[in-house]
Amino acid sequence: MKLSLLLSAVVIWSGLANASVITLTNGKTEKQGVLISTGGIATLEGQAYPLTTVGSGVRFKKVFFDVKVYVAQLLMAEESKFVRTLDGALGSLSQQNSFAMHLTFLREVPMDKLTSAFEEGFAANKVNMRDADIMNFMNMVRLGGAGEDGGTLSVIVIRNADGSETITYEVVRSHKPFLASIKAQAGLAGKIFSLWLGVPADDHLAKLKLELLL
Amino acid sequence: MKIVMLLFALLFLVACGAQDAINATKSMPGEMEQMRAKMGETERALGRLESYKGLTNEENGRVLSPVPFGLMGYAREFAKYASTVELAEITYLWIKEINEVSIDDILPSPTPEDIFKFDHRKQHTQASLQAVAGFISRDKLNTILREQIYSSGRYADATLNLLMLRVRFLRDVMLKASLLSEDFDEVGMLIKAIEHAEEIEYIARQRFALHIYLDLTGFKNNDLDIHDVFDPREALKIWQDIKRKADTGLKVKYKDVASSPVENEKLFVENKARYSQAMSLVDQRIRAWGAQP
Repeated sequence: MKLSLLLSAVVIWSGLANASVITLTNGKTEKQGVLISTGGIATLEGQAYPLTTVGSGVRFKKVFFDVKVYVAQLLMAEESKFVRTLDGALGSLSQQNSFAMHLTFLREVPMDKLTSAFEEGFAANKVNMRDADIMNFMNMVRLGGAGEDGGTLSVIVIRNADGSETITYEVVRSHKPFLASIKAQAGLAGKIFSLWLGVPADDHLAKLKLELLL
Repeated sequence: MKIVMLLFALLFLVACGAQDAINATKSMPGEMEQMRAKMGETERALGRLESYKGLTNEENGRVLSPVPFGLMGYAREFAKYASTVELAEITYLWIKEINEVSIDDILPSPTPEDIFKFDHRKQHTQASLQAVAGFISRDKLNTILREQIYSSGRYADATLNLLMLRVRFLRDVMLKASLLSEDFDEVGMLIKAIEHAEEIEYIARQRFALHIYLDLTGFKNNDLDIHDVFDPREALKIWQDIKRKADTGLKVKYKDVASSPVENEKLFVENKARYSQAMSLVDQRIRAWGAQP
């Protein structure tokens, strides 16, 4: 069932990428040893999408103590249309033609923990996990594998002229990087980005959301 | 005659010895019981001492994040061997130590390294206490609640902290960081998650649940301070997380592991029954909180 869903979506495989599809311009600020970008360019299917970094933050997770997981950078095409409020941020993404979330891992995150974290975030935002587009996205996450300490994960959204959304999922690591895209109905991007800008699944994600909006 | 007398004397002596032996045998169960009790006490004292030493050993607390693996075994043993009063008392003492000992009292001009070591030592104590709290058996916990909360014991307040530490251990370590962050491949994982959730449920249903809290201050780096207040409805969230995990990933499968297909089939049927019972309990718990499964 899962395989047929994956095949039924329009999946564009770019193969094993040697360089990331998103090229960042480093700024002067640093968080947890990661240089925060001022912007970047997402290059997909030969087309360049310039983006501006509108926010960044550090994701901690509580185990026995708080552990650092990743540095998040939120980028979008038009900064002026981004609403920097807790209630307005997610909805304002509908005004963007292209936007991205770029994570730099501060520790290794195994694939099952990554998928679990996404599932928890979707549950907090009451996203239907049996939705076909969500299932396709989660298949990409599973196939994408683990996050590597120092590696990156990017979710890039391009709004198409026909209203559909192309979601590109990239995991960059030293061994077997991963890149795939799906074409989905309008609305999937909002569901995915609710993980960071929607209802926080835990207190640390709430803090990250605040940081991203600063 | 003399021989007869001698024989009688001999018989008498043997009889006395036999009687002594019989008497000794009769008293043996009682003495053995006393010996068993003494051995048990010795075992308990040794177990408590060794595990306490393990918990406070600096080397075992060198790595605390994400999980202080070096402390877990000792925490389990200490929770087993310490008495209920000892557990309440050590909670009180160690929290007091974390909150009241200041680095300024020890070092006049601490360097950043001194501060790191000082705070790490306190985190070591916190981690030890949290793990011990998590491993206390339900029976022992009931006794602690009876002695301290219901009887307004000396360590009533510390017991509220102990309960918060227990919730944090079960919720953050045993569930969120472990079982709930992996795929449920086997029914056993579901059942283990339910066991942990039942302990949190038990705490959440206490009449004084809203008073359960934890304040850990006294770190030089204030970012490490903890101010945690228990929300009983966390129990509902955990049940819902378990249900979601089981619904999305757990499938009871026929496995070829036993000595015959008949045995395999029997195991399959048993596992399906375990799964159904477990899910039924999860649904029941969710409904009990006024939510829909």
